[in-house]
Parts: sequence; C-alpha cells; structure tokens
Amino acid sequence: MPKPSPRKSAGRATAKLTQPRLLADENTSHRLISGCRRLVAPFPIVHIAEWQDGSWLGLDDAALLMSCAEAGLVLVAFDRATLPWHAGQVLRAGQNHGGLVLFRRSVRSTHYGHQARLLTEFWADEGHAWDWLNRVVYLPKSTSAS
Amino acid sequence: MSTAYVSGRVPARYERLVARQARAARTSKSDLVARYVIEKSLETEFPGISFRDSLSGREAYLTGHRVAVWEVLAVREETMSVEKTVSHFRWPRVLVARALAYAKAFPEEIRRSRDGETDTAQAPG
Repeated sequence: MPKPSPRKSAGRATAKLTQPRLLADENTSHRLISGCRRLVAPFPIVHIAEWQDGSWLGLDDAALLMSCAEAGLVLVAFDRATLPWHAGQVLRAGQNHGGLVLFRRSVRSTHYGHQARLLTEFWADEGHAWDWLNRVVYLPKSTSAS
Repeated sequence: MSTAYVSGRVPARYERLVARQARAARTSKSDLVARYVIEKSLETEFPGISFRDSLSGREAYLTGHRVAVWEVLAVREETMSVEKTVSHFRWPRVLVARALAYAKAFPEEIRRSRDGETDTAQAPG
C-alpha cells in the first residue's frame, strides 16, 4: 500500500485539530471566537451562527442542549438562570446535554478579550481532557475549594 | 393594572385545543386565552418579537434567534452605542432596533426579565 503523502496527512491532522468541541451561543459575540483564535490557533470553537449554516439559531434551550450532546459539542454561553434550569430539565427527562461552560455574571458581555483568556486557559489546562456529558462549569472558576 | 374583557367565538376544535393546552400548562383556559391575546397582539405590533418561557415568566426575544430583548438592551447599555451593539451580534441593524423599540415600550417587563435571569444567587464553581 502506498504511503499517504505528508501533505495529505498534514491536512487531515489540521482538520482533526480544528473539529469544533465548543459551540458559542448567540448571546456571545463573534469577537469571542476571534479573540480565542488570536490566543490559540487553531482553537476548537465555532459560533452558533456559523454552525450548520446557522440552522441551530432557532432551537430552544432544551433542543439545543440535546443537539449539542448528539454532536459532541460543549455549549458556551453567559450565565442566565434559564439555561442551567433547562439543562436540569433535560437531565430529569432522561436525556443528556453535551456540557455547559457559563461565563459568570461578573464577566461583562463586551469584554471579549477577558472572555477569550478565561476560556482558552481553562480549556488548555483542564477542559480539553474532560468527559463533558451533562457537566456544567462556570468561568472564572470559583477560587474556594469545592 | 386595570383590565378589560375580550371575547370572541372560535371553531370548537380550537376551544378544545386551548383547553388541552391550559391543562398541560396548569393554568385556566381564560388566563391562557388572555396570554395569547396579549402576546399575539404584541407580536403584530412589534414584528420580529416573540415570547418564550423563562424562569421569570414569559420573556420577549428576537424571532428566529436565541437572544432575549433584555440581552440586546444590556449590550446597548454596556457599549452605549447602537452601532457597537449591531457589531456585537453581527445582525442587521433592524433587529437591534426592533429589540430596543420593544424595550423602550415595556421597560418594566424587560427589567423584570433581566432581574429574573441575573439577580439570583451566584453559582458555585
């Protein structure tokens, strides 16, 4: 069997590296995505408006959470009370969600650089290796022992 | 708030449908009909605005999107600029304008939605 050309192998490796693991919800800005990619290239995040041609924009919370589980995506959003509540509802209904990363309310919606640093550092240090099914994490992480 | 009486006749199948939905929502048929009248009339008055369930009750949001009206207002207040709000969401300007128009018309409702979503106790790590 002929060896794969180095060029093609490199292409496959890049595609694997850039396979999205994180889906940024619509209340985050595209600037978070570009901020993450400026810090870590390639960073495995995609904005919901860019994912599946934007067809997930119309999903309600529960449907989005379950779709993320099926696609192996962790949802990144701002901490609004209803989203984790819906995540709990999904679990109580015997379904799974793909994991949630929520920016705490102390993180301002427009502090894109701060959000990008929090997310890329957490992902590099811990998040990339986790089993995310039904897991919820708040950023910045609590400084108190839990 | 003062209230007024609204009535109308509908084909029987819709009465049965509303009655079933009221039972599912654990509310009365008249309360559900009142909600439908209010929300549909507002959706007609403010094109592009719809309503959905949230922890603080029914919440106005942008039709076809996942963003609540109060979230658009919050970004507008942070940026102090409509243009920067448009850039934040990367939406057509008209969407931001619609959200802000609704927020201006119903400031108390929007404040309640915002408080309900953001004023609860801080989450653990």
